Amino acid sequence: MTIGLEHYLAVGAMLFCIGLYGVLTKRNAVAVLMGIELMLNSVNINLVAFNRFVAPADFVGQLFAVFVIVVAAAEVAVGLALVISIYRLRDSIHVDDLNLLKW
Amino acid sequence: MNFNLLSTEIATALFGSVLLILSLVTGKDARRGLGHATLAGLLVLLLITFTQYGINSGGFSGTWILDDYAVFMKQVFIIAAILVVFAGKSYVEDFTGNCNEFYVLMVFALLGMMGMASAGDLITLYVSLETMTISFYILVAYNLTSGKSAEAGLKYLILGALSSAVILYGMSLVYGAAGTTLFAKMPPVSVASPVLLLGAVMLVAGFGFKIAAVPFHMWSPDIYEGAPTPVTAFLAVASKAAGFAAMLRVFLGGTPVAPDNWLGIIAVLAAITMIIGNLVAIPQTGIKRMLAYSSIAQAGYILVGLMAADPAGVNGVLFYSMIYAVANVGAFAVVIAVERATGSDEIAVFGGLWQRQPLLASVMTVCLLSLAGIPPMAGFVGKFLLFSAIMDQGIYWPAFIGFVMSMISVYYYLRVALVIWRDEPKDPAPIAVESGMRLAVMAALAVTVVLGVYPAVLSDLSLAAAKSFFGM
Amino acid sequence: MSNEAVYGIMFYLVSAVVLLSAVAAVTLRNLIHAALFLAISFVSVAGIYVLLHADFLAAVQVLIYGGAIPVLIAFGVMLTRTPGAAGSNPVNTKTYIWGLGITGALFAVIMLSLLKSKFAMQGLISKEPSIEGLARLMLGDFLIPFEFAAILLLAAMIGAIILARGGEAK
Repeated sequence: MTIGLEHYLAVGAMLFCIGLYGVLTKRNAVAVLMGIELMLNSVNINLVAFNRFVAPADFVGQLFAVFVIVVAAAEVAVGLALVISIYRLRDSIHVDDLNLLKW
Repeated sequence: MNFNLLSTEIATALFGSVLLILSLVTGKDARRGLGHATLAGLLVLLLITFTQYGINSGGFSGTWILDDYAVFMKQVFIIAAILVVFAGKSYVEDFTGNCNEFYVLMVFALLGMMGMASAGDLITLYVSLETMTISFYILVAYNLTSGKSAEAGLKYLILGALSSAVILYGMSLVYGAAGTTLFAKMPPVSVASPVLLLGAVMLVAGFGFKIAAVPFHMWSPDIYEGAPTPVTAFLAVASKAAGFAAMLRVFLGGTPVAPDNWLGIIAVLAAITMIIGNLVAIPQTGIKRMLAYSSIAQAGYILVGLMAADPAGVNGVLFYSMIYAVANVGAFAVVIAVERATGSDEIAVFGGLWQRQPLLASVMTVCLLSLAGIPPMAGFVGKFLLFSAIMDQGIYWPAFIGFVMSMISVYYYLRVALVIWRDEPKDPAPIAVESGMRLAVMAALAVTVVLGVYPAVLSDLSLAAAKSFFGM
Repeated sequence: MSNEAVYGIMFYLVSAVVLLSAVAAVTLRNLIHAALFLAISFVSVAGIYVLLHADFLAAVQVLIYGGAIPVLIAFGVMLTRTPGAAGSNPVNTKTYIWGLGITGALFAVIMLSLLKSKFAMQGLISKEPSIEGLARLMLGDFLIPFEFAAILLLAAMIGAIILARGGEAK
């Protein structure tokens, strides 16, 4: 059986759900950020696969993936800076310990 | 290449960079000067936008659209920013440590919003959306010595990044189904394929988060409460308007989803947002949380205009965004002043405000009445435009729900007014209002009253903008 | 073996590494180990890009996701150290069950709609190297997002410095 678009999309969908599972179940803020990164990677797999099979005339899908990587890197940097800042103030980075606000 | 298409954005980017350099070379004692420089720059930007009306063209093979609609939305963002800086200048100066970059980040967030209003394709939309949100993550956590502010920042980052991931997955599906990211080139379809529908649902969910529509609203009361109040005002007004600007572009300007399908989703979203937002606002005791739920409800009213999906509906969205921005920033300005004087944001501290500071008391009352949609105020005209747009199409139930829920909202808005005018103040000392704050609240008051009595000034402009959106 | 069979074997091999290490990254109790598996997953995603003929993107993926982001995460873990790495990544027991339920249901929905849809497939074209095409797009039609990304990175850098340095007490 040849490997086609569906195979790549299935990998993307699985990776998205694994990442979402991490976001929903982890208590440590760093681990939650890791789950979000997995979700963004799954989006990139989707984009590149669609680019290859559905719109191969140009590289727009790949370009989109490059931008997603740029934004993801910036998001992680700000996220970890926030984690450090909150750790300094609160001595904990567990998401369910963040209860000054009602959530 | 016509540079006029980009002149507002180029000016904004330059202005942000100059402000960044200024904030590095000036010392801590120059903080007041930075606030004034920001105000001057924003006013110049507002003037530049007026030269952009009537251009109505696109550039870069359609990835950038400059129509009157985009210009109008940009003016909403800039006006909101000006009012926030006027009202929040002294609040920001109270920050310990480095407050200098606060204005820089605000300008960058503003730039992101402008990109959202003008985006002609998914990539431009996504990158400008993230420019706005990343700046906001930092602004929300900007009160560096407050655990609450840092916590709000982290929560906003986690939930915001999650919603961005959902939007992105939806965008990737739309790209796969349409074969292009350009809105203008997406082929119209009569029956949506399942994958397009799934993509649209994910986009609605993600944007629903950005505009805080029920059931994706859970973050907003927490973040509004924890963030520094000027940031809350900017977040509640400008980022929400930017979310709507982008949603209109995606759904009315492009996505080849069969309209019946996604309009159904929007209708359900609008109805539950109006109902839940208003009902949960009633028992709130903190003014920031109350305004948070009220702004959730306001998003529901605006969604009704989106549902109409015609020039009248877009006109309502544009008009109401401006009115909502002015009235909401006006209310938040009063909250900032009272919070600085009393150190609390409970509704109870507003007791007897009219004896302590009659100007703040009247502005708060007028702004709340406008948000509630009571006739002489501009909010009434806005709601009228939104609801009549959908009723013209023969659909009455959203307008009915909106009307009933507006009546209910009068209760919790007037409760605050009652505390202001009836209760005896615990501390009769008058509250000082400095000049910037005075200007901000007087402007909010004037706009709200004048546009309520004579709405044609704005509605002519917004109607032309709405028509340009549909290429008319 | 035919080319197609080799391609198939490579695909299944790479995808298995991506998915299994991703599962390890979200289930392991030791945060350092989880971060390590995350890096492995990211690097093998680059393998998927190679299979999809996206050579430039594969290089970017290795540089950013194989290098920069794991290092950032490692710093994040070390600067906020919790006593002992063993239990540093606990699972939220309250959300464990419905987390599984939600993700399972979402996966079913996504797969169903993917399989029920028809995509406008086009024949595979082998073209110029992707880096040239990407450069043309980036500095041509998509110049505006490119410039916005510059501003975004500047804002993120300013913000990360401000937040990580923290404020002085009053």
